[in-house]
Amino acid sequence: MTTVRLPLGTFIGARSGDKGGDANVGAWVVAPVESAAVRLSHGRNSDLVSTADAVAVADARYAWLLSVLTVDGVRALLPETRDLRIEVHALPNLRAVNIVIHGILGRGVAETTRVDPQAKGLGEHLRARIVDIPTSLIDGPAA
Amino acid sequence: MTDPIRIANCSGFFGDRLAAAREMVDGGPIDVLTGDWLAELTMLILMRQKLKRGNGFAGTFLTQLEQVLGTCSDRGIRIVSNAGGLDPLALGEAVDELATRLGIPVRVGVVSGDDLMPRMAELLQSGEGFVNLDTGETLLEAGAVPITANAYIGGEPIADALRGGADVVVTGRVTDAALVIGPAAWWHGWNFAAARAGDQAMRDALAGALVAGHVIECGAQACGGNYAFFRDVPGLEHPGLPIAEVAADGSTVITKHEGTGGMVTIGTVTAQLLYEIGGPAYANPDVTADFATIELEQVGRDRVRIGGTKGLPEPQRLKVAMNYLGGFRNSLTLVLTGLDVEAKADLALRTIAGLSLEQVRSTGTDAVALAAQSSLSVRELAVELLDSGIDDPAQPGDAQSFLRITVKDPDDAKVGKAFTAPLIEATLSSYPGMFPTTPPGPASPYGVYWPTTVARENVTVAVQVADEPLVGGTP
Repeated sequence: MTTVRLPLGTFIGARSGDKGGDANVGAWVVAPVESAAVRLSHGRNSDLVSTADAVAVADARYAWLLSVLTVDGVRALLPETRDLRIEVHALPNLRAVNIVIHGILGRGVAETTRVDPQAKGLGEHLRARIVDIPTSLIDGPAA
Repeated sequence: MTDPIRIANCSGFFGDRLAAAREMVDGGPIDVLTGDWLAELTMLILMRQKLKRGNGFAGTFLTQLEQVLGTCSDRGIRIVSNAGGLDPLALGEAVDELATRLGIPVRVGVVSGDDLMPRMAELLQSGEGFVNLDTGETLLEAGAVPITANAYIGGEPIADALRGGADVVVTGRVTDAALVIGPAAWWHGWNFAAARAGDQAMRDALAGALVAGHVIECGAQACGGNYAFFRDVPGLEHPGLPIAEVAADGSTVITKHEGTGGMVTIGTVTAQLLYEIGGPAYANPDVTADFATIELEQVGRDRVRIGGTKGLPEPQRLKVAMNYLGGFRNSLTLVLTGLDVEAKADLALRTIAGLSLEQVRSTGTDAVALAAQSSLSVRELAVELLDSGIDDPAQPGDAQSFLRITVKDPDDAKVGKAFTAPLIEATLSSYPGMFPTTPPGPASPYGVYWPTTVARENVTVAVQVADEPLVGGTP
C-alpha cells in the first residue's frame, strides 16, 4: 500500500471543547458526498459525484480513521495527553469518533493554567499533525 | 399530526451576537425564539456580578428582548431563555417591568428550583455527598465550600409553563437542550410521564428533540461557524443562526433563514453533534439519547434531516454544576526572541523562581510540587515554554517564543505585586531582549468547577406563570 505524508485534516474534520476538567475532540470523515452537499448549498448541482463511489471512499476513510485514532494513536499525535486517561468512542453512523481526554484542563476553565483553557484549538492541533495516508483514500472523488 | 415546530436559536453563550434575536425574528417564520446564555463558567461570572450589582441574571437578554418583544407578541412567537442564571425570579420581574414599560401584554413564566445553595446544609445533612464525578472525592473530603450549586433541569417544566400560557419563559440552570425539548413537547403534546413509564415512541420523540437542542444550542456552530473546513463556507463573516424544525416524532430538520451567511450541511451538523459530548449515551433529565443511532441526510439546500434517534431511560440522578472559590491567580508571559530559547528560559526561571528549566521539565505538570521546589512563596506554580522552533526566522512572529508563568495561592498578596515586581525588576538584568507581552496585572480570584450529581427527589422545581404557581414541576 502506497502512502503519502499529509496532515490528518486533509479529509478529517474535528471540533473540540471542554466539560469541566476534561476535553473532548470529535473527529469525522469528510465524505465526498458532503462535497456534493456543499455544492448543493452553493447552488451548483451539475457536478455531483457518483453516490456509490463517494460512499465507498468515505467508508474506507472511516476504517482508516479508526485505525489511526486509537487511544495509543491519540497519545502519539498529541504528546501532552501521554499520561492522561483517554476514551475513544466510535460513532459509525456519523463516520466519527469522539475522543474524551480526562483531566487535561485540571479542574476546569477558570482553574487551568493551559494557554487554551477550554481546549478550543485541540481539534485543529490534531488536524495539523502529519501522518501516512494511503494514496487510495486521496485519489477518490475529490474532498 | 401536528406540523413541525420551528425553534430558532439566538444565543450560544452570554456575550454572543447582540443583534441575533432581531435577526432570527425578522429573518423568516419561526414559532419559538430560544437561546443559551449559560456555560459552566457563566454561573461563576454571574455570582461575581450578583455580589457587585445585586442581580445574577444575563442582562443582555433584556436588551435583546426589548428589540423583539413587540414583534413576537404580534406574531405569537414564544420566547424561552435560560438567561435567568442564578436569579430567574428577578429576571422574570425585569421582563414584566420591560413589558409594562413598552405597553405589551405579556405573560411571563419562570422555572426555578435548580439553585441548591439555599438548601445546601440540609442536603449535606440528608446524606448527599456531592461526589466529584472526576476525582471521586466528596465535597467534605475536599474541604470545598461551594459558592454556586445548580442542578441541571430538563424540558418538562418549560413545557408546563408554555401550556400554562406563558409568552416568555425564563429559567435558571436548565440543560441547553431543554430549551428545545420543552417547546417541542408543548407544541406536539408529548407526554413526559409516558416516556418515563417506558413508552418507546415517546422516548424516541424526546430523544430526537434532545439531539436537535444539542445541535442548535451553540448558535452559529451549526451553520459553519468554528468549522474545520471553513474555507468551504460562504458568508462566514456573518453566518446565520440555526433553526430546528422538530416534527411530532422527534425527527428534525436543521436549517437557517434564507439569504443568511454560512451553510447547513451534514458536515456542519456532524461537527456540532460531536461538540462537548462523552460516550454515545447523552443524558438529559427527561430522556437519554443514543447518539450511535442518529442518521443524517441532506434534504435540500441548507437543510439537514436528523432521524433515527433512539431514546433510552432518563438518568436516576441529576447533574449538578458547582463552583467554589479556589483562591487567587496571576500570570505573566515573557517573550524570548531569537537564539538560545531554552537557555533564555532557564535564566529567567532561575532568576524569578529559583528553578532550572530542567527541574521544571522533570516535575512536569504537578503545580504544587513545582511551587514547593521554587523560591516563590506560592501554593502552585505552572510554567509553559511555547517554543516557535523556527530556525533563521525572517519574520518577527517566527522569532518569538513565549515563557508563560502562572502562580496560585489562597492569599491574593502573594500572587499580586509580590509575584510581578521581582519579574519586572529583572528586565534589565536577565536574558537579552527580555519583555513581557502585557504589563503586570493584579491577582484575580478563580473558581474551581466541581462536577457532581444530586438525587432527583432532592430537587424541587417551581413553575409559575404571571405570578401564579403551577402544580407539577418535575426536574
